[in-house]
Amino acid sequence: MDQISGWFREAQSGNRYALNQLIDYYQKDIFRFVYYRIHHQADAEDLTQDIFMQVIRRIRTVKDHSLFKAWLYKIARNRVTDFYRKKRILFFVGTTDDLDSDNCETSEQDSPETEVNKKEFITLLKCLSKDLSKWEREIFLMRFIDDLDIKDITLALGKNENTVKTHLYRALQKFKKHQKFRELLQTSKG
Amino acid sequence: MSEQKTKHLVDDAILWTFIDPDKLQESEKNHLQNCQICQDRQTSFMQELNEIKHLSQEFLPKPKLNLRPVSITKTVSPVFFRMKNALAYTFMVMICIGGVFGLWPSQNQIIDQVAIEQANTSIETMLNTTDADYQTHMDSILPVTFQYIVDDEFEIMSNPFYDYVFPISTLEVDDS
Repeated sequence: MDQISGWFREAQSGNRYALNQLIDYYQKDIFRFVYYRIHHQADAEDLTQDIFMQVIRRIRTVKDHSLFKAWLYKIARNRVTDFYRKKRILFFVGTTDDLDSDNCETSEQDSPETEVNKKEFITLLKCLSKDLSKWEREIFLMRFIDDLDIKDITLALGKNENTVKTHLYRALQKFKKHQKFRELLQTSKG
Repeated sequence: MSEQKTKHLVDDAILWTFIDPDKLQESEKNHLQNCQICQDRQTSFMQELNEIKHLSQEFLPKPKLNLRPVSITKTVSPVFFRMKNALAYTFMVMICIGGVFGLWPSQNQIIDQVAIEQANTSIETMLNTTDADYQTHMDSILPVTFQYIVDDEFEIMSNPFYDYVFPISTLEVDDS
C-alpha cells in the first residue's frame, strides 16, 4: 500500500513511470469491473482505456492518496453508466439491435469444460443481477467480485455507509435464495 | 446459558456477520464463538461468496489490447487540439463560402478550359507545320545543284543580285 501511495504521489507530480506502474497495478481490476457489467470483451477493453485516460487527465485533482482507489472505481462506474446510456440511445434510434447483450465470449485456449462452466457462471450471475435492484446489484458486485470494502464502496458511490450496508444485506438475502447459483459455487468450490 | 447454546443464530444474523459484525448483539457474538454449527454455516456461506470472486477472476478473458492508454507516452497539449479544430473549421467555412460565391471553378468551367488548351495546342502545331512547309518551298526555288553554292542564310527577296537578274517589275502581272 505504501508503494501505491508512493506511485500515486509521483504520478501526481508528473512522473510517467509511476503513472504507468499505477495503471499496470489497477488495470486488471478495472477491466474485471467493466467486463462483469457489460459482458463484452472488446467494449470492456475500450472502456478500460477510456477510464485510464480520464485518470491521467484528472489525477492531480485527487487530494488524498487514500481516496484514489474509490475515485478510480467511481470513474469506472460513471463510464459504464455512460456506455449503457449511449447504447440505450442507439437502440432507441435503431442503430443497434441488442440492448442487453447476452454474448458470452469464449477463448480459444479454454477447454470445453471451462467454457461450459464459464457460460453457466455468467448466465447465473446475470440471472441474480436481474433479481437485484440497481443499488443492490452494484454494491453486491463491488463487494464480492471487485473485492472492495464497505468504506471504498461508500466513497465510490457517494452513499451513506448504512445505506450501503442495508443494500448489501438485501442483496445477500436474495443471493441466499438463489439455489442454482449457490449449487454451482458449492460444486466448483469442492 | 444452556438456552444460549442451543438457540442457534438466525440466517439474518449470519448474513450480518459479513456486512457489519458489530451489529450483532453480545449474546449472538458469544454464541458464534462457541457454537461449531453456526461457525460452519458462516464459513460455508463465506466460501460461497469467496468463490464468486475466485470464479470471476478465473473466467475473466485475457485482454487483447494493451489497456494502458497510448497517450501516456506522448502528451499533446489540449490547446493544440483547440487550435487544430479551429483551423479545420475555418478551412471548411472558407471552402463553403468559396463554393457559394463561385470562387472555385465548376466542372463545366474546367472542361471548357481543357478544350481551349487543346485547341491552342492544335493551332500552334498547325502554324508550325505551315511555317516549315513555307520555308522548304522558299529554299527549294533554285535548282538542286545551285542550292549547295548558296549559303544557308540566303534570302531571295532581299538580295540585289537577283533583283538585277530578275527585276521585280518583270515578275509582276500586268493587270491591263
